[in-house]
Amino acid sequence: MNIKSLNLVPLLVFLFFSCFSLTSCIDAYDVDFSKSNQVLVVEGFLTDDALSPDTIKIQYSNYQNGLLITVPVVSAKATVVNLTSGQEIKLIEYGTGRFLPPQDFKAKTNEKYLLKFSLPNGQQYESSPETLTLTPPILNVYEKFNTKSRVSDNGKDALSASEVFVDFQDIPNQKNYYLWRYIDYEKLQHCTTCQNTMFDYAKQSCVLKTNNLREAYYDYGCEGDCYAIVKGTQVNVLSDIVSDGALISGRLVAKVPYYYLTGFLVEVQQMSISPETYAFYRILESQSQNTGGLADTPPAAIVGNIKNTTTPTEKVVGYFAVTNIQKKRLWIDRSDASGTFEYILGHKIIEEPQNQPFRPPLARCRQSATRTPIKPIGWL
Amino acid sequence: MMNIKLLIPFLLILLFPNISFSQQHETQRLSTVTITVKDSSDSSPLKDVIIKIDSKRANLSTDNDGIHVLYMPKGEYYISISHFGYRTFRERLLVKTPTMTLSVSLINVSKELDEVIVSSQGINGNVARPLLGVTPLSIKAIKKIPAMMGETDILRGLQMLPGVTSVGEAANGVNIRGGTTDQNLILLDDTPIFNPTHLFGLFSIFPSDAVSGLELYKGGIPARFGGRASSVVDINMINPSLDKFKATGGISLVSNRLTIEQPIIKDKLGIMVSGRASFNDFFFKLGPPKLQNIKANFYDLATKLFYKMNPTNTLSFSGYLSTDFFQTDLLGTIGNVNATATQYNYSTANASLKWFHAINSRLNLQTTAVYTNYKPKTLLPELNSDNTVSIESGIIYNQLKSSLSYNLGEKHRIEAGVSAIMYRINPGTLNPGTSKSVNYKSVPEEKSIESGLYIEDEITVNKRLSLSLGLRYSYYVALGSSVVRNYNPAVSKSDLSVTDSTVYKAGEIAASYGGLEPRIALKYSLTELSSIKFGYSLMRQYLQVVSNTTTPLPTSRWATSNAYIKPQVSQLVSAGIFKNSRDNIYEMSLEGYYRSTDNILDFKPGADFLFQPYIETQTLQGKGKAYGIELMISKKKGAMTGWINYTYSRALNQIKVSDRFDEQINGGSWYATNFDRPHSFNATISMSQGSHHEFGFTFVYNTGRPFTVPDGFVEYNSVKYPYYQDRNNDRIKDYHRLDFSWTIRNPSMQKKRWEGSWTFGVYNLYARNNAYSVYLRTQNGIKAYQLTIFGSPIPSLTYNFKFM
Repeated sequence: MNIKSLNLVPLLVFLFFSCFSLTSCIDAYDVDFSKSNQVLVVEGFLTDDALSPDTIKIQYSNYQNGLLITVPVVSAKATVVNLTSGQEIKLIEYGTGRFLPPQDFKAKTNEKYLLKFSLPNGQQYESSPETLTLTPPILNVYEKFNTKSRVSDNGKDALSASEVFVDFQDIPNQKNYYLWRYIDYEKLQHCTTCQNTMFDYAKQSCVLKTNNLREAYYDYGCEGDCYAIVKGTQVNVLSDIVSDGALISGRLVAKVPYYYLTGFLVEVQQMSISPETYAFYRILESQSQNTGGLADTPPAAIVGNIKNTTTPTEKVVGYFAVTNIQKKRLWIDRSDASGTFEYILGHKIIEEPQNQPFRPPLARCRQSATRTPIKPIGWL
Repeated sequence: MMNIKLLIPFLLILLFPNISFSQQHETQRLSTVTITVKDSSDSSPLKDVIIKIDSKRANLSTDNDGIHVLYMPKGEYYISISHFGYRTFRERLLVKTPTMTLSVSLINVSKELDEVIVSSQGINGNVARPLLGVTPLSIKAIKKIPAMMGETDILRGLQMLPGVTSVGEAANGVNIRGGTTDQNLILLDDTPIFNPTHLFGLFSIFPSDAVSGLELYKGGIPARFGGRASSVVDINMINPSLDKFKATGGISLVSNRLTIEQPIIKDKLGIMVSGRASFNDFFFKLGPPKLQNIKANFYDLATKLFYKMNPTNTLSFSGYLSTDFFQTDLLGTIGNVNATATQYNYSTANASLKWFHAINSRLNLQTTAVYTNYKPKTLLPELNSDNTVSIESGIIYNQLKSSLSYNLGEKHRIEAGVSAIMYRINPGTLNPGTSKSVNYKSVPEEKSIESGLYIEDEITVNKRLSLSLGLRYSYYVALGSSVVRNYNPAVSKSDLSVTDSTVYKAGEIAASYGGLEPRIALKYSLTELSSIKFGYSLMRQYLQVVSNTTTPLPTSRWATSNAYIKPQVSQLVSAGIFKNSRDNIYEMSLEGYYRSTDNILDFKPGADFLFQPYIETQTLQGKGKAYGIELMISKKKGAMTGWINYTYSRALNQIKVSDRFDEQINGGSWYATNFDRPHSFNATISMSQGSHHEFGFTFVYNTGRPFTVPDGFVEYNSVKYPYYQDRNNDRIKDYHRLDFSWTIRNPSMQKKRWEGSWTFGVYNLYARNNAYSVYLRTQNGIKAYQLTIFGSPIPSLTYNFKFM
């Protein structure tokens, strides 16, 4: 059960009091954020999906003067150790601080793995071992449009979304913990935004300076097809402590905002995780829900299973987990959608006026972690 | 006794100067009047009463049996018998026969006394008795404190005393001298209260009209109390009137109240029933639409039956029922239940039966049987179904105790007793009803017995020195059936580090703890009006709430000690200086204390207790220390009464089970508890303007409670998260507030049996924006916000009545 949620009760009662008594319920509060930190953050999911493995990221989160900067670690060396076979698998660095297992590597069921890495400063790190356990397959995946799916950032408006649900059969007579992720593929209409500049087609960048810009930015349409890869950020975990062996039906796994009139493709990923991974994600979940109230669980450090073996006092954020991944894709045509659109680029689309020949130009789709010109499998 | 009889002739000379004892025939004409004076509630004899004949002080004292003999000429007199703390008996006395007897039962009203607003020990008691850190608080005093929304609140009243704080306005309990809320033993007529508030901390559950008063023991705790590490709040319900029907009641914005007292057999058997019920979903219906789904109701019902069987035996039964129901929009679900709302339903059912037997005038026996059943539930009504999934837990508490009290003359008052408590805790049961999403699940019941044996002696060494020596021995056993796991000591205790386990059958002892608990208090009078005191007490606690929230929720898990959860052991040393003004108008006290507690319980980062049979995997034990000084000045008599106090105190914990990160808090160094509020200042003033108007003011100031701010931020999976390292590393803003009340008594100004009064009150008069909580939002940059509750003045109007 999501015990955290119970905490909102007194809060609601009191929100009432303060609102009822015509004072402002919530005021800005002066907290000293002059602190600074440099924390090593590891995102380490090793799945048995050899075709599209997860990227293992090793990077620093630097926080200073209210600003958070992510700095990937340069020249780190990382290996995955199969404790069952004794085999060491060197991870391949394909970008600074970004690692992938070799193409011929596939994690095996019931085998134990751990992650080891070293930094150029001589510090050695090691995760606790994780065992790959089988995940039950997704039996059904389906969608329902909800006009009151989410609440806007200011807490005032209801936002609509396509809600995606799964059914699956929990494995009886064993403790299971699940984690869900999703990827939303949307066909983009605009591929680039230029701030205080205009887009140069030849250079494929925002370099043109002009004095008569009417708007602070312009959005430029895509040349050819371009698909946005939007990953869900909400933590979604479940323990089968109260539903061992049950048919779990209607588990909400994705909330995809109403970006376009046209359809989209969603990939749902279901994973069995270890109890420790589950506990880590529960702490992560609580960080974003905490309201500081009396009935809240005081926040805890999001320290996972990675330890610095050279300097044991260093706290490392993040987790190394090994999972069997179950995926299902669903095409959603948005025929049931209604309500207000949300901006996929985070802002209102403003196109450059067509008052010059050959302008505005189109922008090419660049392959990246968030874009692809290749039509995803399952796109209709 | 002989001495008193010898004195009588001299006293009679004083009283009746026209009598000449030298004349034998005159003496024969005198009548012998034997007067027996007893306490009405337990028929214990009262000595040292003051008897006045025709307003002249007889200056006689009754003996220890409460029997007194007067010789007086025949005639008609006006007699009054008074004793401190009792209602004065006044009657016309017709002396016609040569011998006559008069039996008088005085009614104990010490807690009703107007002038004793609050004091450390009654009139002059604070300097005279070897009791330290004991505060009797009358319900009249509590009723004079301006009440939030017109609901007289005992817990809020307690917080006006030095050394009593809470984590905030919605706290589910109070913190006394650096103790957690579950370290207070709250007794309502001997029955323990596990959840002292209605509606998640808004109002306290004690029906104010049914309560006569309370005693707060925060220092020297008598040996008769045991089982909690910090303090005792002993709340007494009123004894029903045995001579006439009485009713009191009232209407506030929140609830209706009615209390009636009805004699069933005059002077023998009477009953009191007191009920309070909130208005249906009271003000939520007036609120904005998003609050209209909220349903909030509570009621409580208290009753007391008092039976005076004969002069040496009384029997009393106390009963208490309380229920809360709260519904709100869905806040979360369990497993994959598709619920439409979240409902909370929690109830308390308490009962106690007490038999008092006076074996002789010096020795009496008191035997009490106690039953308590506390049952919190979380309910999830399912969508498109009549079914409701429920999560239930509960505590069933049964106690039998007996004590012998022996009055050994002037020098010793000895009390000895035994007690046995059986705890049965249901840590959690999931009832799916017809739901297919979840299974039935129940965490095995925890069963245990706590027994206690004690003796205490209040010794008056001489006029200056008196001592109270107490010794308690408590022994606790955790009973099967249960499974005790063994863990690999090389790693943190978790489901994965289990090496093997031992199974205990029903009734087998799975773990046992026990030990001596000395309680010592000493008083030394410096002058007639000032004294110094010293106290030491050791307390053991076997039952505790394990909660991972700042204030425990009504649904929080209670757990008894087991093979891994060791009992909390607290030692308190206190000392104080007490001084009264010559006429006992002003009372001043300065007390200091230091407490150290072993095996305090805190939760691991990310702990989850729901359906967890092995709470040792979620908790950590460590040390606690608390210290402080408390200064209190009260004015007890006059048109203006009240008190002011200032407390400086700290409450710190240290937890380091191992060097492993998840087995220590704040790196194993001392950290401030949630209720560590160093500076605290309270003032409460009540001003009478004639007999019809009364004004009350209270002012409260506290250092803001500690809370946790992040040491920075990190990005994980493209989301920014606050990065917390140390718990309670900052404080919210200081808290202060002024309240006001105006009571108009008997507006019709006529003397009738029915007396009504109106109270108009304003809570938070100068609209201070006290922070209830501070939290962070990471959207569009990182910002902190404070949530204010009662951010503006909250007016209230209450009507109260008395029918006497």
